[in-house]
Amino acid sequence: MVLKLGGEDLTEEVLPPVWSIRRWLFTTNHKDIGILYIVTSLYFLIAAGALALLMRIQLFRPDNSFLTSQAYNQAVTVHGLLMILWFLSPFAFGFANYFIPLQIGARDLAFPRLNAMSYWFYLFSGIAMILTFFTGGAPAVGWTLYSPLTASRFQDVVGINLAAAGLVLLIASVTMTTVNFIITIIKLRAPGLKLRYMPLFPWAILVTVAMMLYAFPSLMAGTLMLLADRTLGTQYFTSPQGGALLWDNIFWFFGHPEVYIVLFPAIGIVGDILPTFTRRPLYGSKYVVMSIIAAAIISFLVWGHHMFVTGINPFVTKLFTVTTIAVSLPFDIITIAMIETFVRGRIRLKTPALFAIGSIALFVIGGITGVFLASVALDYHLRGTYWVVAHFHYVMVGGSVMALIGGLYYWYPKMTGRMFNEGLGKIHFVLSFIGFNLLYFPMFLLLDMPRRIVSYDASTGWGSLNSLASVGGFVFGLSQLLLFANLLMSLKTGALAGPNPWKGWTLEWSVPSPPPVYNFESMPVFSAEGTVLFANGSGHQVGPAAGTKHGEAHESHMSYWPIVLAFVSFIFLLRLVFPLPVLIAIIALGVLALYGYGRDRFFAPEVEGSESWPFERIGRLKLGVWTFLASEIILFGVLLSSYFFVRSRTPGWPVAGSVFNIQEGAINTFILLTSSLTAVMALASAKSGSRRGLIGSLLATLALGAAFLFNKSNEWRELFEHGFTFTSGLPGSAFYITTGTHGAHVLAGLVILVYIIARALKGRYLKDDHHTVEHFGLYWHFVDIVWVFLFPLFYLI
Amino acid sequence: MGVQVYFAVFGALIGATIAELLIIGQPLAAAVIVGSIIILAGMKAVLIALFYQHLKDEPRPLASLLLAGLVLAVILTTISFLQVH
Repeated sequence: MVLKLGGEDLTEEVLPPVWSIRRWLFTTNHKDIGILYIVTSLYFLIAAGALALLMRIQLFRPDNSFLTSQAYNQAVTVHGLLMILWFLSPFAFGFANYFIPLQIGARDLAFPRLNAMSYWFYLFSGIAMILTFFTGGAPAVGWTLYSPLTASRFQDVVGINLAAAGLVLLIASVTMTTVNFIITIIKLRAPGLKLRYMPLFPWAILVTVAMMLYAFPSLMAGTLMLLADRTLGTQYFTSPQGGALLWDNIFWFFGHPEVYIVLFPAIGIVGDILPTFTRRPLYGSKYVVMSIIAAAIISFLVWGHHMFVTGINPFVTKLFTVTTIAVSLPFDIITIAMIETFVRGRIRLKTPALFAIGSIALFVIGGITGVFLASVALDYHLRGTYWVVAHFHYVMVGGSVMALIGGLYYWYPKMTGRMFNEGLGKIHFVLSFIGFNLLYFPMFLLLDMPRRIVSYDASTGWGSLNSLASVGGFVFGLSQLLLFANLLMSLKTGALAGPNPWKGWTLEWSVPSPPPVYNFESMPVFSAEGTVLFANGSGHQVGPAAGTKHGEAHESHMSYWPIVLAFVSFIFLLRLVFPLPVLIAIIALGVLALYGYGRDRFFAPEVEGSESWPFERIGRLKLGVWTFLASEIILFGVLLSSYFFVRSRTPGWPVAGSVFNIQEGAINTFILLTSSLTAVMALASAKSGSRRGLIGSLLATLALGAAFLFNKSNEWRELFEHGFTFTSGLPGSAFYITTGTHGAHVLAGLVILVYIIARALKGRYLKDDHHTVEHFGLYWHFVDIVWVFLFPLFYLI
Repeated sequence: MGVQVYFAVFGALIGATIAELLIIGQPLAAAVIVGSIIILAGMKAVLIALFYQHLKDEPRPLASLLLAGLVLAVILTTISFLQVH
């Protein structure tokens, strides 16, 4: 799959045609992956929307029995999970996949195969979630998966395990996406494109992925602990010392930033739409970016406002009241900037602009009604009522979905080369806006109605408002059919769009619609003033001929291994369903796929002179490893936070030496520290060109890592023989899950090491080719650092 | 970075681990023992990061990326602890 440019479109040579299934299974091109994300997320929108309509039918009138309480709870749970995790963010990242490289002047994302793998993990994770309906019962605990509702004794169904497995796959996908976008935006900006010149959408995505980097590992840790509780019998969330409060902290540490993770891409899209349709730059764009960053930081300090009614320390609730009010301030600036842009601009009320305006209006209502919840006194009354339901739907659906639909209309001509039907688009907006407000505004008035109840008595007086909301739900839901009909029909009948139908200012409008597979025939270069120049003197904003021409770019756009690896991971997480021989075959296929992935002759696009401040001196892969390790800090940080939480509340925690053998722990510490020395010696040998030194050091590292795991397994066996098992209270839970997660990391490191040794034996990694050894070392030393803390915490104190 | 530095750091890591093992046997207040061991563990982690991962030679923003994760983990731990004590 070689791309040779030089003035002609060689799409057919690098990718099969669009009607080929092979293309969509094996593509790694960012635009294809973007379309896959958009289409798949729209499927999940339809599925989750259908569940919402079932709920609205049930609540249409008092004492209704359309759904059983169990079915209603399942609908509530899966609706929330699908909408938030499988529709909203992936939909936004469909646009990000398609347009970020175009907007920053790159040929693709930094790691195209990782991008493809990320999509397939996402798809299989969603399939796992949908499958829960066919396994005897989907989760029926609410999207927050509150403990102890998720405990086996309350939810003795496979569905929750499957949903948790789906979450694990999804978070793996998110981690890959996060690393990919951070490296892409930091390292692959077109020459001269300083961060300050970037449009708002890439800025919003950069901040969003930074938040995802730190938020999702918390959910990963919580999900692993939940799975362990349900399958191994650990007691993190079933014991009073852990329980609901522990889950609340872990979940909302992820959950509140997640609100902004969903919202920021929408703000970025509105920030791109507004200048186009008002013919003026975004008012105060610098302050908008600063506000997004400020809100992102504060968002990690507000999670406790979801726990005001849990009886936590009043001092802490005051802290969270302050931070919650503080987080609303940056959004004031953002909203005012957007309104000012309209006020000062020459507005063209096209469909994307209408959705952008609608989004701002609805977000204002959603934001203001949320500030009430920062007050502990008010929160006691409003928590768990339909006020909260209305508030977050005005933010998530009104603020985010409306903007994302606006984005779909905005970029549809660019993606397809065709215009949609403008009249139908406007009707869609009007019906959506009316339907939305009919659906959710009555819920503000239902502020005494508890959420998540399956039916209500006629005497409550809630009937008429619920009927109104249900009618609104159907108007809103069915109006989306207009969107699908419009976009599908326009694929064939729409007028040709041309490269820039909206007269947009950002870089994607400088290339043909749809863009060629390699994006830019002539790579853009930004001048010191932020003006775009092209090597051939043509383009968006024509300037003097300058810049780089990439007539000899050699890039790959197809790989088989991403989908194979994702499929293997999916099947592996379903392993309990399969007999042992099948499991062994799956593992073998996984090893083969990993090997194939490593051996794949795949060339990611490179552009010389790309802007990469502030990481000019670090290669993209190395920066990727470091970024991944930053997320790992949160994963282990949450596990250790849970350790401190349960230990501080558990009387009779084993004293040093009483359960865990200090000598065994110390020996393993010496082993792992020594392996760090051999790993760094391997790097030194590789750099100096000593093949013997390299292979010897790598083999020593392998032997030491294997010895660590051997000792660890012996220790576990002895502990089990002495009756200290997974079910031995919170000390057992914390010990086995924390050290087990660490052990899994050691094992993963050894698998990578075997591959590196095999390649080193063939003479690789010497002198300037040492980077793989260095990257492995970064990971291995991190694993060592984690153990440096686990040893004293479990064995010495 | 010279190989001697790697060995010197290794010596410090082993020494700190031995110190951890020796401290737990001393007739000191629990808080002193716990505090000393945590500080020693932190020192070991910093040594590995700076010299084996070569973080000291990397741009400052990279350290910020990692430090942000560490700070957030500490905040979560501290606030969670304060909530119930």
